[in-house]
Amino acid sequence: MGRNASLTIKGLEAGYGEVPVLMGIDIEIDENEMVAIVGPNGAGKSTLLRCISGLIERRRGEIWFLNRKIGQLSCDDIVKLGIIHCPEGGKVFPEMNVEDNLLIGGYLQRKSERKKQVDLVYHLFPRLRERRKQLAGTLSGGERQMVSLGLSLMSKPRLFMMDEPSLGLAPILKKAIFETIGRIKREQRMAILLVEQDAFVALELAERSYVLDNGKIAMEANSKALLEDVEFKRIYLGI
Amino acid sequence: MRECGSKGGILTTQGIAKHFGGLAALKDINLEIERGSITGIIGPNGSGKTTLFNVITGYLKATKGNVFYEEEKITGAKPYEIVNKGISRTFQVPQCCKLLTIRENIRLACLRTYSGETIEAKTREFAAIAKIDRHLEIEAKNVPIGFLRKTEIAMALATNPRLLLLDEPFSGLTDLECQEFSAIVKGLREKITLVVIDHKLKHLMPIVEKVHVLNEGRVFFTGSPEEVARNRDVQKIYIGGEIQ
Repeated sequence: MGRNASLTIKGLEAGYGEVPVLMGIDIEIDENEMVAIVGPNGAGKSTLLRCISGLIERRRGEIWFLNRKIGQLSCDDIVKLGIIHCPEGGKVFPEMNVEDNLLIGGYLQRKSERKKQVDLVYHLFPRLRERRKQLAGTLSGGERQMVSLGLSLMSKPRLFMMDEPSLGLAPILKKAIFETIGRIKREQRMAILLVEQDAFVALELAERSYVLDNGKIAMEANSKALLEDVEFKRIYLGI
Repeated sequence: MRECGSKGGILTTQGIAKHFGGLAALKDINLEIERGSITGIIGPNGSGKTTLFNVITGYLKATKGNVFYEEEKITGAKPYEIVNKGISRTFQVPQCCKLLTIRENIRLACLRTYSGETIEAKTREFAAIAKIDRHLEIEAKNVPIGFLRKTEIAMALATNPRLLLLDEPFSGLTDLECQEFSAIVKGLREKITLVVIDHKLKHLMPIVEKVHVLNEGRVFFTGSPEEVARNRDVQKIYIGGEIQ
């Protein structure tokens, strides 16, 4: 097959306090592949991302990134390797303007490189160029989401993890955001891990998908096949 | 006190405006919410939907205009006074106490209305109505947004509201969870009046009778869900095409 694994997770277990959340997760993402993770609230989707980016400790299992074990590394070391986590809810630095938000995201890059990345973000989100001097806290929800994604792109991710990029967005903006995510996928070389509750949109974009349920992988399949799966439609989409 | 509109209205807003510095978030909002109805409010991000809820519930002071509830002027009343009158709400970003468990959060809301042994019983009752009774012992900081939305419903019910305002209750829920939530909302509807803000039209439209579309701080269009879905201007500013 000639597959080049970007991220490989084996038997991952994690939780909060006494509550187990992930109970033995196996996942693989290839370089330049886009994978979606869908599943109900409480399935462990966000916890999985937090575990990969080192925000919470794993209890058991292995996480490999580009043939290197990373389960023991700290958040900042994981970012340096190129794993970027864009958290849920359009998180930005509200008291800073749009461009300064982006520059913060590029703190690992050389100055010349940083400039290039800012241009790339403006190319993907032209709206942000118009708003570059506006305080991020005064932006609308959709614009904040763009800043949050742009900030993540600044550090040139090799694995870009997005948590619910469409949360709270008006239909028209949601379309725009997913069109841009599609463009990022086509134009940039990176692996993408998309967590999203709108399964239709997620499965349309990603080649492969995992269904997470109750801390376990309930299904793994080619996205098209999954959208046709009767069991999946019944349990997850309610149709 | 005969300033307000027809007798069918449980809530009326008259000429509400709200300015933040130079930004006019709301400009002349005139709405009437009918008693016993479910009303939807939709509109682009930044059109003023949440600001309107904040003005109605006393979290923000209107720059101009008045709010009437049950024919009484409540403009400028404090949030707790408004809760005491019978208006409750949930938040776009759930406002539970993060270090308390789900049970403790609901219990906290019950303390206002109930005492003694009824508190525990009521906590359980509202948790069951909101369908969060299986997750009561987890700390709020460790539960996903969907559970917090249900917790907020239980907390809002604990204040005994006659009018309940829900701010994006479907946000962060899967399709199946949205369907479950719709069933919860429909169940409430027999007892109270509801106003629901949401972007998920697929789930919002089937449960509401009337929809107000806000745009740039004004009521842009009002109609039945069908009329809203058919309206070309609404499609253009908000949906970006036909509704799926």
